Amino acid sequence: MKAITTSPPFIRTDNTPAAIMGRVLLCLTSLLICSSFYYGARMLVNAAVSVLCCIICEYAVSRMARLPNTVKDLSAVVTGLSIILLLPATTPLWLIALLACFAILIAKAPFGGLGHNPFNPSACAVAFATIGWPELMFKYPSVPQTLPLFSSDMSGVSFGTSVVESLRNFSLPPYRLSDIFFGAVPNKAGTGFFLVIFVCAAFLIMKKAIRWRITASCLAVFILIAFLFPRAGTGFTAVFYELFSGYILFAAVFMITDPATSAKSLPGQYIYGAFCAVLISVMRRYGVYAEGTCFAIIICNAVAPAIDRITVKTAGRRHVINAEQK
Amino acid sequence: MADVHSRGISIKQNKSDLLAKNIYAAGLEDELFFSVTKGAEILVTKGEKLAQNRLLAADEKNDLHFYSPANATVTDIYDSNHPLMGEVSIIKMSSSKAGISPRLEEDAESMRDLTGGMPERERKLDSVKASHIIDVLDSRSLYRKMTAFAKSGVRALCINAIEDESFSCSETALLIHKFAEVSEGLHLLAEAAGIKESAICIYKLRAADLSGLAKRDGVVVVSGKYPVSARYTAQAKRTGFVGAQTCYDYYNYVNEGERQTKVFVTVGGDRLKAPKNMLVPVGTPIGKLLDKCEPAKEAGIIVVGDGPMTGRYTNDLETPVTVGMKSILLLKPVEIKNITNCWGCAECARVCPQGLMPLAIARFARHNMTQEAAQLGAERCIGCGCCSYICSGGIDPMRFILEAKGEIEQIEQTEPKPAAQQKPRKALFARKKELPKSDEQ
Repeated sequence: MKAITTSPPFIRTDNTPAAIMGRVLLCLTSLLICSSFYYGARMLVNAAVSVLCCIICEYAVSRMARLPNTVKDLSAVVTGLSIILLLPATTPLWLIALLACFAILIAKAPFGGLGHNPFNPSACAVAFATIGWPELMFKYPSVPQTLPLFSSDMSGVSFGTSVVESLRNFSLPPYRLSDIFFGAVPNKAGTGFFLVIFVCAAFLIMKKAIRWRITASCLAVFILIAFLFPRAGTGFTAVFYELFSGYILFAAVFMITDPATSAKSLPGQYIYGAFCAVLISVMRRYGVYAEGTCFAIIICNAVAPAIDRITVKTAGRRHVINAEQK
Repeated sequence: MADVHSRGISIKQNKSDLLAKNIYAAGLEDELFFSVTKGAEILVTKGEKLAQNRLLAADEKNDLHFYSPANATVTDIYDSNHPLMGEVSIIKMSSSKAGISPRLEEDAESMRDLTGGMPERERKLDSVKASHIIDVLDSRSLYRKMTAFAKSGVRALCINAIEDESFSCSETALLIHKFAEVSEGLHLLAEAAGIKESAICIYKLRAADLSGLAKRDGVVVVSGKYPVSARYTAQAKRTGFVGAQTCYDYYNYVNEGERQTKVFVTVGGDRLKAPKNMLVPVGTPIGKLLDKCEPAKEAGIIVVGDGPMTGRYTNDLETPVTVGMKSILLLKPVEIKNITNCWGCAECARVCPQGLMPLAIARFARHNMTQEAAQLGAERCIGCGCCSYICSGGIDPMRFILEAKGEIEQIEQTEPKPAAQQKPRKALFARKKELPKSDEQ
């Protein structure tokens, strides 16, 4: 039975989690389509497996907990798509299914589902895969090539060095700048299409679907660190290589802006974004793995509530409206 | 034009059709339910026949006087609860459309003399006192307000017709159709209190532009997101605000000797097919007015007050119209979800005009953690409803925050803060943005 409100206000916006997630989903789908051009229909199979597993797990949890079905808020679909875009395209289907189940059953559901999880589920899944199967996580197929549709046997596939690995070795990446910018280099499946990511960022900011302050401060600080502490090339060349490598841009737009796990107060968002940038830069330079962004994101998610706590405004703010004047 | 702030919400106004129509004069209903404040002394008895403008009750503590809107017979007097006035006494009357006896006519005249006569010759505060007009803006005695304005050296007297809530537009409609009378009433009031400046503040509406109201002398157009009215009036220095209807009623009192027995209300909402702005006798049951506006077949809830954001719910069709009831709305019911539905999008924090974090305060308030709610500034909530409006999870954070606020106020009344805690602590990164002055356009 529906509960009808009898206290003001008596009108509501028609915004729902599904509407907000839908906008993010549109952007992730565009990245999926781009990756399909480079890797063939295998990406669509990866997406189908991941999304299906996420939906089944979400539905099963809702049923077991006797809660309303939460699949319709589309968060499980967004998680499923994010995961496969953050993995190499050659990731076996069984591992994709495992990671999708991990994201929902371990990183999200036990904490109470959407809005109550402390860590970004797709970041947790990628971290789990990085620790458990590093040999699979850092093998990037060359582009373009058509991958086997269902098989895990990648013996016929050629692999290449990613830009992140070159930077780790303090060497210049052996690719043209234009190839790097348009994603035509070995990388994670869907995080190398920087032009598309920029357009998606503009769209999401315009639609108020993401917290742009976090993205802006993260990228600003990351660029500053890359400029001051270059690993390959100097000046803006070094910035170019750092920014358009790995999945820093994808993370800055889609992952660290996750409403449930990021800082919520306005000044806190700037601090949070800057903190993410510092941690990601540290992980890249001194972490065990060449690309440790997922670990940095998890640590930042843990710190977000503390950042909110110290930046929320308390009594004493000027221009206060006296409640009696309303 | 004054643009007040960037926080808040943009609400669809739904007023263009309403303002394009004339004001509808609702006739007298057979039964009237006249609400008077609980502490008022009732001066009529059951079975008594009385004339229009007869003094029904007087609340001397609040300086409120209530006059009969019609020739009528008192059929019952009982206590009840009104969604806007709280605990009230209801004087139920059976109105008489036929003429009244000459004796009652004399009574009506003598009543008029007892209560001030025809003061069009006087331009002092005494005429405001004698008018016994209740300000529609806050249902307070107009005389008390004007006296307070005069004493505190208010520089400007303004009409607050900044109707920034959906549907509600009775003040704007009155200004469009009776601008000269309202304006004159405002000048008379300002003159009576010795206030030199006056202005009429309206909300930026397409209908106001089209009708030419925005270009009239003395009109200030205020734009901005809801709750712009609260924001604008709070930052206006040395300015007193009254309602447009109040000025119109005072004009009528000075020129015609009429008592405040009718009010202008918007009868609207998305469940009415023919919404109208109406001139309604006080005491008319709201059900009769809703019937005149073709209610839709689908279920709706009734909301009375300033509008759908701050109004009050009622399910009693006999709820009477009172002075200060600016709108009667029949709205689509809104479903409310459990607070656990909050998924942390923090849209409420983005729109809160007070810079609060409703999602956090509501969670603490729900679990009766009043201290934590107070630390987050729950007492600064103004009850505008922006957080609940924008919530994508379908919860109602404002309700929890206002409950916590009530508890905090109770605690502070009984246990004042120690001196060390009374000086407010500055928050990190406190904003220093100045708000525009009231005379900037």
